[in-house]
Amino acid sequence: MAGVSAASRRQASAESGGSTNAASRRQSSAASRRAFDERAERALGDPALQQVLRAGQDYVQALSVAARAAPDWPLALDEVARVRGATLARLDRYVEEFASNVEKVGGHVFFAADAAEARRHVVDLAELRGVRLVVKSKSMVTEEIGLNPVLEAAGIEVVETDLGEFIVQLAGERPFHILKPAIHLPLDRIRALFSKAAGRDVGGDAHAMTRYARDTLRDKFFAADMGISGANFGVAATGSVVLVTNEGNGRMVTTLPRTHVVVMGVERLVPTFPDLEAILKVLPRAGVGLRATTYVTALTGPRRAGEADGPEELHVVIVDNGRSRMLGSKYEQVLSCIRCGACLDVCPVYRKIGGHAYDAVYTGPIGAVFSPLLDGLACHAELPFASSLCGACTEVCSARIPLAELIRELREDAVEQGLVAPAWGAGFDGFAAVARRPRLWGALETVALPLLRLMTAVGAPLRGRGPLGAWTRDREFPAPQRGSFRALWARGPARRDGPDDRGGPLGRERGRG
Amino acid sequence: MTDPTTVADPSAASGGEASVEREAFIERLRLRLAPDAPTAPTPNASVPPAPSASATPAPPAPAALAFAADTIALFVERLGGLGVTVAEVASLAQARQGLERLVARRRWSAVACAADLCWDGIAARHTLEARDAPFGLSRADWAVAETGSVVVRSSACVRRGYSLVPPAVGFFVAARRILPTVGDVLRALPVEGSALPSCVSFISGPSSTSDLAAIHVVGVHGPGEVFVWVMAEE
Repeated sequence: MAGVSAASRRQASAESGGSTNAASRRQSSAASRRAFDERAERALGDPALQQVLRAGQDYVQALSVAARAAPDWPLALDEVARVRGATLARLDRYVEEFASNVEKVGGHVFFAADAAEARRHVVDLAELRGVRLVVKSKSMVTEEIGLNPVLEAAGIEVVETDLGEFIVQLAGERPFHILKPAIHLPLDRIRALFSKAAGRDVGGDAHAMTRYARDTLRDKFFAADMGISGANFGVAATGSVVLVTNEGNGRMVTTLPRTHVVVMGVERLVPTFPDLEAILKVLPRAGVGLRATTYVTALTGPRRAGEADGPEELHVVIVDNGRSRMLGSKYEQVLSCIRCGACLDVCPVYRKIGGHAYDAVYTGPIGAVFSPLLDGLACHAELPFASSLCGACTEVCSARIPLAELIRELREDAVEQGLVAPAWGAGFDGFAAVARRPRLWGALETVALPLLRLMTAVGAPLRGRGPLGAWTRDREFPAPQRGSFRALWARGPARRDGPDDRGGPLGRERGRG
Repeated sequence: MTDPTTVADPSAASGGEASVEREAFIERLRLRLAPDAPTAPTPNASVPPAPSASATPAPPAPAALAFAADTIALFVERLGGLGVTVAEVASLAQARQGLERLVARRRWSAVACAADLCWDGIAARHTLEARDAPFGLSRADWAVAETGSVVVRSSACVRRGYSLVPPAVGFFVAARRILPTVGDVLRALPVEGSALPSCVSFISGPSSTSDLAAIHVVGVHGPGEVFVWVMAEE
């Protein structure tokens, strides 16, 4: 990936011991912003990707529209938010309860303060057990902690078994979408990847390709020594791990290998099974428009005495990696996320730039909040700005997380930490200074309005030029109305009636891509 | 089985070092949530059971729901929507006959199921091993009308593989075990971890994916075909 990757920025920030001065911080974040712009430009200039992104969002929205129209939908979202909020409010107790209950049923618990501890524990365990082949079911947190490369460096073969993850692993890419990791790849590209791996042409039909993946991965399931999964949820009262899947690979990974390792974020708990009711109702409907996923599996401890299948050992790795910093902060609600992906499927920015432009494990609106909080704002200072603040994400969020507000909060933090160009702060200070002085405002209006009218009259030749270049390149600048709001107001109520909407305050976006 | 509590084992969570890490981990959470509270309670004190976050209503009386005809009708309708082949039969004997006919028609060489589910009609083809069987059979412990799900618990007899590994699977569902919602089953589960089986699976239709260019394909890693016999009486 060209430009400055988030990983190298993280490393640079760690090496400098966080003592970089404001100027160099600003410089590095300006560089990462340029890199972000380049990635976004690449996505915008890829017509096939644009088609996939549009189709993907439209497809999910069409599927989930009926669920969202149900009269009890808002109540279900309220309930999800309440359960998640109540859990986070006493997370210390639920974690303790969960861990002791996992141990009561014969599982082992490891507490990992950061990614390095989590990685080391899993690799040590794999080496100690002489593991040569690991099968994995889809897990964002193992992406977050960078588990696969470390296992591979230890000489252990790691196979992703979720079909989408299997494809991106073959492509050497990162998941593109939280729920649909390979949604950006067209069928012929997947055919080429599969055919290369198989050493023969697997055919161009989706069913034939699925058959190839099934056959290949089935052998891996039976041969693997260790299965690694994430956890959609942990149930504190029983020490159970709940997985929500469609393909069945999650059940294979947690049934066939003799050791099962669960890697989960510390926030992913609920108090009891009944507390899952609203979540299990909302998650599949919001994510893929289904009443239920094919499988919801509740695993409580390793196999019991007398059972003939299931893992002999269960290890649960509970990962903090920056989450405790969010607890009790103004960003706490982001930990309520149930990873339904709904915010990605409505976001107008994601619709244009896709997942890889974010250069982060978590993408879209939730990623624009969660990634900077996990890795440090300096690593992803551009992400809170990858938003139009339209609020669509807040509106659809299954856990009622005010994503747009949190994105705005992060922008404030970025300004305060000196991570954005000084012009940003100066611009808003200037606006505030003028807006507080009605006479100055009026005086500027008499100059600015004719200028704006001139600009819109000249039109095309000015597009993409001057200080508003980046904005006008892709948008029609709205022609100012006759007279200002203040002038209209002064004329009195009778003359103010009637709509006079010419493009709205934000202008009209020109079709692109 | 390797003893998971050997000294060098990173899984030895109850060791002194591990419990220090654990306390530090939980203390970090506690301090973020209640920075002014006094320090942690004495170690080894039992964790007070945290109350459920939801106001849990009393579990529904299964008997009252069982014979609600519309619950059964909804279950059958939802199964159809998921692409499940469903037959409503009067009794276990009829369900068995239906399965025998299916096995004969498909020329399945083996039926994988628990020993206590096997009967004379399939005994010749019965196997305990799911791996190479063309068909796996389970008895559903519950079913959910709203989602068309069957719920299966693992046990010494019931392997997880019977409902997962073969390309086609079937379930015998007693009508009185059909509950209206997923929540009804969640409330019916034991509240103690030790009383739960190691695996409870909600299964709603065939294994499926849309990961290949958003094309819907059934039968990925799990079964591509699902059959359900709803028995009015067991």
